Amino acid sequence: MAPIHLSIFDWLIMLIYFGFVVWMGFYLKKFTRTDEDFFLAGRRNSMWVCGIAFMSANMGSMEVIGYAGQSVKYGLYAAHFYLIGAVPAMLFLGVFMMPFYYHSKIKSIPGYLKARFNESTRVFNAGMFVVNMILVSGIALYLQALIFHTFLGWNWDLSIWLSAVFVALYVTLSGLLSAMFTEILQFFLIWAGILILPILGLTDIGGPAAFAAHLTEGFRTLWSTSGSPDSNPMYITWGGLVLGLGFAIAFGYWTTDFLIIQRAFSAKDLRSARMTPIIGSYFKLLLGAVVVGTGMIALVLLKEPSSGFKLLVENGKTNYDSVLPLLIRRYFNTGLMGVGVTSMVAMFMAGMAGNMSSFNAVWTYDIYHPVINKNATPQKLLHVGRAATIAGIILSIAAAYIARSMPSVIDYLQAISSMFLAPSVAIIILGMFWKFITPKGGLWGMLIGTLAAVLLFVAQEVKIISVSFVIPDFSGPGSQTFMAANFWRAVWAWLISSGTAVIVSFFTKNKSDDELRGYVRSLVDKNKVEEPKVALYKTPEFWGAVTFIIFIIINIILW
Amino acid sequence: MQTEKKMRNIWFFVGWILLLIGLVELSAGVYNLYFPSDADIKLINLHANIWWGVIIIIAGIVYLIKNWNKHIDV
Repeated sequence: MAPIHLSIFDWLIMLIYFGFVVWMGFYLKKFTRTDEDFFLAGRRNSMWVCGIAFMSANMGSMEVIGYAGQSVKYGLYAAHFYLIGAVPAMLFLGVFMMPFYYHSKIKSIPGYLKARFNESTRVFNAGMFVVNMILVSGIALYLQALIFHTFLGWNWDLSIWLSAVFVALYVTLSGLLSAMFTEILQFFLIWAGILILPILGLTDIGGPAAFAAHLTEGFRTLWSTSGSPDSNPMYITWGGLVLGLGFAIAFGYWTTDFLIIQRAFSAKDLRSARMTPIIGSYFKLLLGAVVVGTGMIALVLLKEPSSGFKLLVENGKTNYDSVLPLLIRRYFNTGLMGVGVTSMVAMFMAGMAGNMSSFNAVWTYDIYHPVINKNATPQKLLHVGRAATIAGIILSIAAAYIARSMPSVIDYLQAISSMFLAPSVAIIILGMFWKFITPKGGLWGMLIGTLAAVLLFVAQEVKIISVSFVIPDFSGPGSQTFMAANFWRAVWAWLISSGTAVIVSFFTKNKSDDELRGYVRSLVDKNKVEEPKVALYKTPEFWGAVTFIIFIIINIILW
Repeated sequence: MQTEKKMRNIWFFVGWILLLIGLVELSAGVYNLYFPSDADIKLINLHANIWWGVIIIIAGIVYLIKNWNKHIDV
């Protein structure tokens, strides 16, 4: 495939972006004096700064480029990742969970596990988290290089190293503060690049009526074909969607993944922290409309031979991640192409900076400080955080080269993340809402749940067990049930973690009420979590209810 | 140790980057009016780089005006 030619205007746009990002790192360094400035951006940010950075950390390349590809594969079923797979969990975080996180003044999610359970639970969770972050970040780097190599003809090594060095530079200089501020710049650039795509795409296919004309019901509805796995492209039932995606995976990601929650921890007060995911939920809905809409436009173009639109095929395998770059190539003229390419660079960098800023915080606070150097001063922690960023990026580059030599690794990424997140959220939610769960109950629940998820995955991969063992309502070809298996595996991991935690708690000693105060719902000092009275329309509950109504209406319209 | 106490509002920088990028995009669109691109681009007759550039410029100007003199105490 001939690479896209970039004009001087396109290069100039990229130059402006890179110049701003690096300059901002140096500018913000002056305001990064303490470890809290570096890891939590000084806890002085407004709800809009936190809310946009929260969403931007979620708008990495895999979420945008990856889900545009998933929309070609699964049609409107991919929108579930933006609806039931996001909105309820985001609202639950903002309305119910954030007061615990924020008021306990913890610096990370593993930090909450230490306070609620014990040191071992924290270190186990932190260890899983840092490994996951390196893998995610490495694979994102690889995908970026793949796209830039294929579409722009850029050198592989240059593509990998360029973004890595820029992210290393600004995250090392001022940590979360510059990660968040550049995420906000990136947020606007990403929208500038992708918001116009569905507008041009819809014009090209002749408006929304083309969806009904070209796509079968399974590809253009959300729920009407979810009664039987045979009737929809994801081979899933509504039970798997609600329990697996809506509950185990969505709550795991949105309520316990420190990568995004770290942004809310940097808020100046509790109301801003609670509004963070709620503001994010509006952008998540809009992002879903743009990403899934774009993917479905590509689907219509593919069904219409006269469009001349074809996905990239490599070694006989269709590359679904090529959808977004191919549409950018199809519609973007000089200048606009620069915005489109910069938007893709911004997605990669936002995702990677998010991974690295959460990686350095968890490594420093939850592994280095409690395990390696208990007496570290705040200044020492600041230095360790900066060094951890450099080390994390070097490890990510190594992971990117491993992914390049074994591309099948990418297929397993979502499976790996779901194995780790479901047990975490099971234990955190149980611990937060039920004081009966003991420290050993929490630890063993998390360990056994993670182990069970890994064993299920490996046993299915090496065919010791059949797919139907994992998916209770199994139907359809086994090779196409990858997503359904991910959803159900998360449900089993959740149930096994919760069950283990409850059983172990019957036989082990719990902490006293005084030790649990502030970390369990029934033991919270009401005066401490009470927020200053504000008008109803300024409350997280009000805006959460509005999102929820919009969410219900969308589900009904697209039923 | 630096002693800066006032930090520029992030929205100020958002305004600048949108304005600059919008200006380059608009310039590219105007350039294309006189020297059309020979690349195979669909809907090229819509001149999206012109009107999208203008929208981005307007967004940038709004952010700049609203945040011109705003600082955060640190």
